[in-house]
Amino acid sequence: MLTCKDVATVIGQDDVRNLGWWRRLGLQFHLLMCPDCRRYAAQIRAIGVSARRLFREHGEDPQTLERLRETILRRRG
Amino acid sequence: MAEIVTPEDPGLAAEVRAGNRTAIQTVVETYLAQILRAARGAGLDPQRAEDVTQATFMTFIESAPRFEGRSSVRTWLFGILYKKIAEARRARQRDRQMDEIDEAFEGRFDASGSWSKPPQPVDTVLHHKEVETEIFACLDAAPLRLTLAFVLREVEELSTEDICDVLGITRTNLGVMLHRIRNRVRDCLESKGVRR
Repeated sequence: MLTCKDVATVIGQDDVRNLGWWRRLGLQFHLLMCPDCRRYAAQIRAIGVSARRLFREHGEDPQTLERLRETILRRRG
Repeated sequence: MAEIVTPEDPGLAAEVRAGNRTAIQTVVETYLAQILRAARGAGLDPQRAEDVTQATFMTFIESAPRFEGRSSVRTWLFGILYKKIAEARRARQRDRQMDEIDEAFEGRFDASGSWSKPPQPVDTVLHHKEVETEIFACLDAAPLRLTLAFVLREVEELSTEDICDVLGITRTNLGVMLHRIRNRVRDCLESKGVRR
């Protein structure tokens, strides 16, 4: 039987893929029945999504990139 | 006349080793933004991040003749970046905080493994300025390896093998590290009272 702590650990470790089919079924069933674990899983997922968006949106200033590229490629000569 | 070389080109490693100008330029152009982004993600301020990025590519260029191509160019670059960042952050010893993080997680469950302190509602539209600041601040304060594991996995979407290669850790280590940093960020956001 999976406890909430087991579920939270597997989700946090990104380990769902490595569970055997039986335990994965148990995990999905637990999530169906447990709103706290559902919330936890959703929050972990949302953090990943937000981080990806934040980092990529911040996007590097094209001038900075250009300047860096110039410096790197010029110096290699 | 040099052939056009693309990042997917299987001959890239050989071209890089031979010092082929185009190959090197392709590598720089392909990975510059990612490396800079990862340096910023690791908590370096903009100037340091630029310095470290530049240093990473300079090291790449000068050690190109020794590149065997066993790992991908990208993994190799991230490996160099990791060492450069570690040098830049050497003054900031955060590893002692690792134990605190585990206690924070353990303390949320009772003896039977059920939540005693369940997660609180957090605004799932994590886009506001304060949340942004919070995520960055939390990552910045965390031990470098945790932050980098998070950035490489969540933002750069490197495979498990590649991340383990870059950080010099096992798959099990990586799982534990991701768990810790994710909990840490989640706890940071919850404690800052981000509410739906």
